[in-house]
Amino acid sequence: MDILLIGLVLLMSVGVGWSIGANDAANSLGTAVGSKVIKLKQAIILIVVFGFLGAYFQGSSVAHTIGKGIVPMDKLNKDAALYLALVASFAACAWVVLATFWKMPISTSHSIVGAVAGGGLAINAPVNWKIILDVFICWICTPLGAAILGYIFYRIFKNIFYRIIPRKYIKITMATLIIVSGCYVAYTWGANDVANSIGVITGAGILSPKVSIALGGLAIILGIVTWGYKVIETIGTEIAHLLPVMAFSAQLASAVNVHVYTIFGIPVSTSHSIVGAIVGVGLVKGAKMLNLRIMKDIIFCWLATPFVSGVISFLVFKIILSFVKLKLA
Amino acid sequence: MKEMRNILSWMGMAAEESILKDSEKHVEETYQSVVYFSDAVEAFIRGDVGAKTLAIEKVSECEHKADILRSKMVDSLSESLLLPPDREDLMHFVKTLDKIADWTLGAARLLGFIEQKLPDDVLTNVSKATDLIVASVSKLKDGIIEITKNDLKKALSDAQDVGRLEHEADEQKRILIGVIIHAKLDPATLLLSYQLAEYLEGVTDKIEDAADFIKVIAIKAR
Repeated sequence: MDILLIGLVLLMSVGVGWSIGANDAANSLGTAVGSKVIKLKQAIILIVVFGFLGAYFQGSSVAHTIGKGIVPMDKLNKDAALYLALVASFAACAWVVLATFWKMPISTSHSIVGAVAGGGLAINAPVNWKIILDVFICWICTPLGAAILGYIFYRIFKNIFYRIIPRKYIKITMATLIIVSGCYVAYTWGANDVANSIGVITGAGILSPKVSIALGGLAIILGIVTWGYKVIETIGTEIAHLLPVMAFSAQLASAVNVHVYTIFGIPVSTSHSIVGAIVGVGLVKGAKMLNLRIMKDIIFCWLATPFVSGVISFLVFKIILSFVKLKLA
Repeated sequence: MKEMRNILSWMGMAAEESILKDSEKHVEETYQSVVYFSDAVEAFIRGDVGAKTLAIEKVSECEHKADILRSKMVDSLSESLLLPPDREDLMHFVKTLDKIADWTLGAARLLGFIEQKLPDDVLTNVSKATDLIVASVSKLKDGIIEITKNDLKKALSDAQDVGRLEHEADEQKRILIGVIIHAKLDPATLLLSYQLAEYLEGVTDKIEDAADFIKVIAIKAR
């Protein structure tokens, strides 16, 4: 039974990792592909390498928050922890699939946090509401902080860039900066988002942190190479219209923003960060970035996600509990 | 690709939806201009000059409103940093929509210049051609509403109906020109009536062009 449960948890976690790789890989170097600074294949290689490095070297602190911070899964009975890991990853995965079907731009980070809390409540496990509140506040600050940083960076770089660097080096310098900042985004993305996939695995003690992070990193890579490249292509070639200095400023702002949260072990939406950064950069140019309706939809998805995944997790766990007797400790 | 939930792709798609919503308003104005043109034709057939002039003024007002909406849509397509994936198709779509109202106004102005009472068979055929325009623009309006509701199958079917109606309008133009030639009109009225026949068919042509873009957007969205 344990092996079956473990197999299912791993499968669900790989599913979440795949979805992260498929959907969010484009956030790092999509605009660089669009600016024709880098080719699609080169972008994919860089995202894969830096995403994995970020996950491997700095993914553990956010994984700790998801696996042990929201609900101390390591202090639960082994079976209860396994079931919680299974239900939480199932609920997060189910909501991601449904949201994809309904074309809603949800965050996997928000989904997994809600799912773990919902599952914890179902078995009366001690849910750490202080951490949840902290995480919630950080979710509000993520796009705002990125927008402020994007605004500041673009204001600085657009004024000094062309004055400092000799004309003949501008193109190569800009290309290098875009690639480097894109790799930094990929690194912080891997570091923050890998926990969404494997946080519950480490929490339930199924695999060691390093092995589970490696597994999550591989799942994300699988997502990038099987589907994510299509999204990168769409964003790069059809949607994003950013000038190189804007792309660099937005990427740097988003990466710094996510990196700070990653250091403190807070799972945040890397998508909200890059969107916030682009909005900030756009404000300098006075570009109309979002209309009110789009803003409303994004905020609705943002608010609904942890609640819905939490409810799914809670209900599924309650159903399981009607068939299975579980001890909490 | 449309199924992806990547937020940047999604924002582009949301912008596309917003443009299509505006095009719904635009086609509503265009539809109104066609309806007023139809009223002008009826008044012309009845010999009611006052009603004809009033209806032509209404066509002009609708065309002006449609023009303002077109400018708004073109602005939306160029201001944002994240743009709809199908922006080029949408830009052509917006321009084509605007041409329908332009050509309807052109036809209305020609009708305004015709002072002589036309023979009954000419009037009957002008009326038939106008009915085809109203039917086509109704189908176009339905198609746009359906595409905003993501009912691609129905939108494609409406676009195909517009194509069929355009074919009928082509045939109607041939008949109308034949009747005009044999109507023994004075030179000025002959010239104006011939031009009117051209414009009537031209309006359905423009409606078909817009319907073709519905097909393109619907096929790409599949």
